[in-house]
Amino acid sequence: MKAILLFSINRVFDGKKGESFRLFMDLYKVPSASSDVFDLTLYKLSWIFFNSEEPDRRVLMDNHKPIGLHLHINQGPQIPVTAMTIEEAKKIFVENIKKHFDFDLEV
Amino acid sequence: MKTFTFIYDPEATPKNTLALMKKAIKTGMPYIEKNQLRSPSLKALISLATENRLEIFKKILNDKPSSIYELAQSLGKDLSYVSKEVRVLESTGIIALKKAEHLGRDKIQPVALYDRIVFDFDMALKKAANHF
Repeated sequence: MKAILLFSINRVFDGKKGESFRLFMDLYKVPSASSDVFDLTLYKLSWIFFNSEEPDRRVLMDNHKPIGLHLHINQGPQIPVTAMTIEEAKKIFVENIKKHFDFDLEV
Repeated sequence: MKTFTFIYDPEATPKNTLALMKKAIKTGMPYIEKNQLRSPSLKALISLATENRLEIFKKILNDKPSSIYELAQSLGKDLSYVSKEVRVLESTGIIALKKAEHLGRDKIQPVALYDRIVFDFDMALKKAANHF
């Protein structure tokens, strides 16, 4: 069965130093456990946070086949990450945004 | 007519955005914002949708240039400047960059995905009105 889009947003936020940042988040619900999911949470995600003026400066997280959950920092290679739930995946995404952009998504 | 809307929404903070996702997961009720870009900051919206970028978008929509080079030529602007601005427009989601062949050469063609751009401040006005 086809994944169903559950959540989709496109945002722009102010940074601390006069810059602005973009956030795209797509989250799909996968109806069957046998589908291409990265874990038992049955979700397929595509999240990206980047500098508005320099889109190549980014934190990207997704879990497409066959790699599973992974990050890309800027134009770097895939960095595999482990999360068993969507909350854990979100935490890793938020932490990397803090680390690379000094931006807190939780405020 | 396909419309893209830039929306000023003071409630669209990072924290609220994550809360909306959490709610969608918990309830199973989809929350989908399509054909729009939303921000709690008017400054961030305006710094993204600048007059120059909207002018470039208009040129792409009306003239349908076959390449970024052709677009830069018709605007009478520097290619590297136009390339950078086109990349920002692509990341905004209002244009796509398509690989195309023109006169036997591979080119990147900017293509408008919308034919109307709207700025929506209604929500802010409603919220401001509620304070009076």
